[in-house]
Amino acid sequence: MAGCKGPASTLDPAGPAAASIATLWWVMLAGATVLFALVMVLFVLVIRRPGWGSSVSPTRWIVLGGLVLPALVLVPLVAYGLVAGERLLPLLGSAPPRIEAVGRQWVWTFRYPDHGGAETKAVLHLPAGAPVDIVVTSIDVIHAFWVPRLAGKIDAVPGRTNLLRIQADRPGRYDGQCAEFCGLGHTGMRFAVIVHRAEDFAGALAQAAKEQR
Amino acid sequence: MSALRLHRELAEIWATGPGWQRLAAVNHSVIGLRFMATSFVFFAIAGVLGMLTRVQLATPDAKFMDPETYNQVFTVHGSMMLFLFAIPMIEGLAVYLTPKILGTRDFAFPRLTAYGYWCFLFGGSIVAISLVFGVAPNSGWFMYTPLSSNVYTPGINADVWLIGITFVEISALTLAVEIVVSILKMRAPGMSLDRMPIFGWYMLVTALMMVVAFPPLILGAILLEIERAFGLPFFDPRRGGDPLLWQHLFWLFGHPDVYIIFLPMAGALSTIIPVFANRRLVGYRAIVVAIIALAFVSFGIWVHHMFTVGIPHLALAFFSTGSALVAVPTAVQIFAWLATLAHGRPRWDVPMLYVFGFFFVFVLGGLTGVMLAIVPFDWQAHDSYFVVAHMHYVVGGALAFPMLAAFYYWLPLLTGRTAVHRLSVPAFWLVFIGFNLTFFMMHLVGLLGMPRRVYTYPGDVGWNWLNLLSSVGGFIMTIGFGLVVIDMLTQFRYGRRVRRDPWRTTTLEWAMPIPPAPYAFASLPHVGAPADDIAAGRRALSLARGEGYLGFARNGWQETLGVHMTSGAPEQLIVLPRPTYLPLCTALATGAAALAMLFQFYLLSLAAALVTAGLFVLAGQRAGLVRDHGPLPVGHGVSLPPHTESAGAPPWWALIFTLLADGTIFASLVFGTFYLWIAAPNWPAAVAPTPSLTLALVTLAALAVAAAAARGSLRALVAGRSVRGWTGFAMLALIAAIAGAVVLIGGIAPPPREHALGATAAALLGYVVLHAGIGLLFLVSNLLRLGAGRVSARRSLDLRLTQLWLDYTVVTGAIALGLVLALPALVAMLGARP
Amino acid sequence: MSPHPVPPRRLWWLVAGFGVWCSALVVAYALHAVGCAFGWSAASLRLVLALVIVAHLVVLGWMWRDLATDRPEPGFGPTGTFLQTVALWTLIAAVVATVPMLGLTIALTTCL
Repeated sequence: MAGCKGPASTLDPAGPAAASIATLWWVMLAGATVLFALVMVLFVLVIRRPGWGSSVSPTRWIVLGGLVLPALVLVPLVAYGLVAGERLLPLLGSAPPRIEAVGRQWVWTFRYPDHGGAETKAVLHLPAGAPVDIVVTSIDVIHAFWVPRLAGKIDAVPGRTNLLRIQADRPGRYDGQCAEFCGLGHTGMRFAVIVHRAEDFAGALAQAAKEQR
Repeated sequence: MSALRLHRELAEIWATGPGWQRLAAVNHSVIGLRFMATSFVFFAIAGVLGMLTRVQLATPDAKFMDPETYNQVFTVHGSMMLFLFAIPMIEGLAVYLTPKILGTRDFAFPRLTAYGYWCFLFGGSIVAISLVFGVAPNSGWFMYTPLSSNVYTPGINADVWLIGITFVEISALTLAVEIVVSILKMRAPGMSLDRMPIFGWYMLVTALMMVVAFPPLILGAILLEIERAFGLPFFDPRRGGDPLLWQHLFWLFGHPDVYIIFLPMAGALSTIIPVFANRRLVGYRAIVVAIIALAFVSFGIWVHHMFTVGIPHLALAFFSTGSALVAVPTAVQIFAWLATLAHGRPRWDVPMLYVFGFFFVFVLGGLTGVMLAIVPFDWQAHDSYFVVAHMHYVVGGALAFPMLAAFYYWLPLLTGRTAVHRLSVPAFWLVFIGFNLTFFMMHLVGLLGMPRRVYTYPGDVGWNWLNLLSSVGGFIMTIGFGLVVIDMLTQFRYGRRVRRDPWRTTTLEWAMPIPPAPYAFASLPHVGAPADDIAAGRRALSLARGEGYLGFARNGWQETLGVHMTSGAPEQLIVLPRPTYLPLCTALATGAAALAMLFQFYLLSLAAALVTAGLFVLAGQRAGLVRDHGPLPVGHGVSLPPHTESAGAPPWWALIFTLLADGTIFASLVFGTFYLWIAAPNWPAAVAPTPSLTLALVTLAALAVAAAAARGSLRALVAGRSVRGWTGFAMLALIAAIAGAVVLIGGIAPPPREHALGATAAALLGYVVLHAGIGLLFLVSNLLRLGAGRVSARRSLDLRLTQLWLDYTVVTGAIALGLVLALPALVAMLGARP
Repeated sequence: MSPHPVPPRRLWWLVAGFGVWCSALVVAYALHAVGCAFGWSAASLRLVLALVIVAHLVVLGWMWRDLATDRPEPGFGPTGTFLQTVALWTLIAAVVATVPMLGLTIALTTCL
């Protein structure tokens, strides 16, 4: 699927969370295609072949199409979605290292409490292959933290802190951006995510923090 | 009597005058058309704004617009499409068609319809004109705080939205109440609820949804405007407010709004499809159940717009499951329509082309809607172009295509001609192809990571081609809409002439001459069978000859019938008001209040608001009849009392539904108080609240005394004694209650500007003051009307309305005062939190 | 027009079923927020939510009995039958909406 590649593509996942959601998408796309085709074929048939569907009683049309069909589709889909969502939660049982992401009009600041309070702006450094909890908040308006290739987004709400568990499988560079409209500079509120090999992470972070200071 | 003579007599009574007198119009046909025409103008403006965004986004790093302009353009595009086009368009359709389909001559409150129209026009114009001066709203159409607060949006941009849109919403609310009452009380004699055409059910459910859906947003907008203008921190997290409270209030309106737009159009489809299927609608009862279910469930899923704000997964699951469930009643309708076509002998004409467009677009939008209901997928797709695509498919499918089907179907009623096929068919395909090209690409670019509301994008992320195709599609769609407009204008002149009922229809709106006369029916039909199964064309002539009810002119009155709510048995003769400039003047005063508020002349605004209130009291003076008439003949040997002497007169029901809306505002306020208590940061406040128990009890007692005095005055009126003493007594009690509440507001701790705790207490007490004040207006109106002889023992409606209002004021007053008294205990509970 | 028109107050039955559903959702959502804010244990929070749902289902069941055993008065004619049928089915729909929406979801992680 070459068309799905891209530095910000949700369909080109580089971490388990994004991968799980991408799978969910492909499953839903397949199901939606079948349902859409079904309804449109029925529409064309009832118009083009008068009397074609009259052998099925009106009640049966409504019961089969309006109740049975949605039930067959929705029950497994919702169950799948809830289980998948549960797996993506930053569950308290495990406590991976935390990185703070603070939104401000119009730049992201990242702090690394486990690394002597190092701080980077507009660039997030991550170790590869291990989960990290991003603690997201804002000091002015609402922003949203989103790295499409790694995970879904979470809002940065002033006065609150939200938790997002992400993991990058491989070293590399990924696009991140503010996804909640936050005023004049919203478009420019992007950031880069640089993922290092686990053993290189501490050194690279110290280097980057020093350069930015 | 000959049909022609009857027509002349009735037309003289019902017609709107020429020239300037058009401004005094109150007739539903006139106002309905104005609503639709005006909203179509806003649609065109918003469409152009949409095209501007597509020009900007056609290529990466474009310099066509700067970010500030872009923000204003996309904000107004969204706000205008939803608030100034979608809602007014369905209201216009409801106003124009509902009385005709239900076989009555007009809506219950013609002056209110006119007032609603002027409010819509003025409020919408404020928003449109702000664009010209470059001060248009720029915080996105859902106006999230704190971005829309005066700290981050200091200019008047956000005020334009809050004031202009709220103005329009109040107009929508008045119309909603009117639609509900008219459908319940004003139908053709014999049209019991089970015989009502399905369109009536759709409009009834929609209007009830509007009655409950608009209040949360109106409250939110009022609170936000108070925060911006006077500094009371409802949404400011630093002072104990919470930006998420705005999101809850907004989406409590915003989600049902989608169905408020969809249901009337589904009603149109349920009317059109059977006609072209040559068969009655399948599953009437199933559809009624489905739309009631849809109405409720659509309220219960507002949080699915907030899946990424950090709400716990268990709570998200409620709303995720609900959002999937809402597909079921929709599927019931889709398959009822398919079954109707399957069991009929379908014929093909232009409206069916748009029905096809509806199926194609709406089903796609519904399917992506189910995808977005699944929480993890929403975490990725939320606020990306995928959502933009989804909502355009839903609204386009729910509104645009059915609306055009409805236009092509009902336009012959207005023009007496049918469409010019050579133009209609290519116009459809341009709209259809353009629409799908524009919005389908947005799904893909969203999945490739493009967030919504960015004014440009870099060229190396892989979004270039999809955006360019979207923009090209946008232009094709615009050309298509242009052709549709030309086609409709052409129809007026070059369409093939039809005399009446060109589609061989089965509903009453076609049982009249084309174009419809201002009185709609020269005489009212009796409905003895399901009213969606009437050979309309054949009924027309006998009705025109006056062979139904009220087939005569009397006293120069605009007469129609009020019926029993469920059975449709005629029970009162409703005499409607004649054309008047009062609605225009009242709306101008309301507009002056809004403009003064916008430019921060608060005293002037208050003065204009008082003038508005005075004009409403004045409007009351002209209502009703000056003497008791007793039963009057209405034809077919039936005699009925005029509505002024009837227990279940329309104003009674209107007040009940108004109080339902008002109660929703109050419930939202109580919800807001508890929400801030449990969820807002920076609670509890540094200062503990210390409300005065004595003062609160005195205030409540004064309210109770006023309500008791209102009871006393009603009893005195019925017994033939003087009611002035009682009325004066009630006034004094209300003034005492207002004074008590004002003193309570003055003593609020912490001060309302310093912490949300004080601000909510002030809002709760302010609510009590406002309602006691309106109670005073009721009493003033009663005194004036007593003096003018418009109230009698038999015409006691005014006093019953007053009593109802004051009872409501006591109940909400008790809750509000009780909550204010409970605040210290609630704050103490927070202290005990782990 | 039957001799005994259905009294307008019977129309409340059309919204009664989903009114209960509404109440269940609001109460469950509110108690969930309160429970998380005040740090209730997951087990007690689930128990409270389950009780709320069961209580609402009991009310719906009681309404069902009331409506289903109460044959429409013959004097009300077809309008009465129609309203009875619609009310009955909205009640069923309300039960069907309550169970998956509020019943099966309480097994999930409570406050995260």
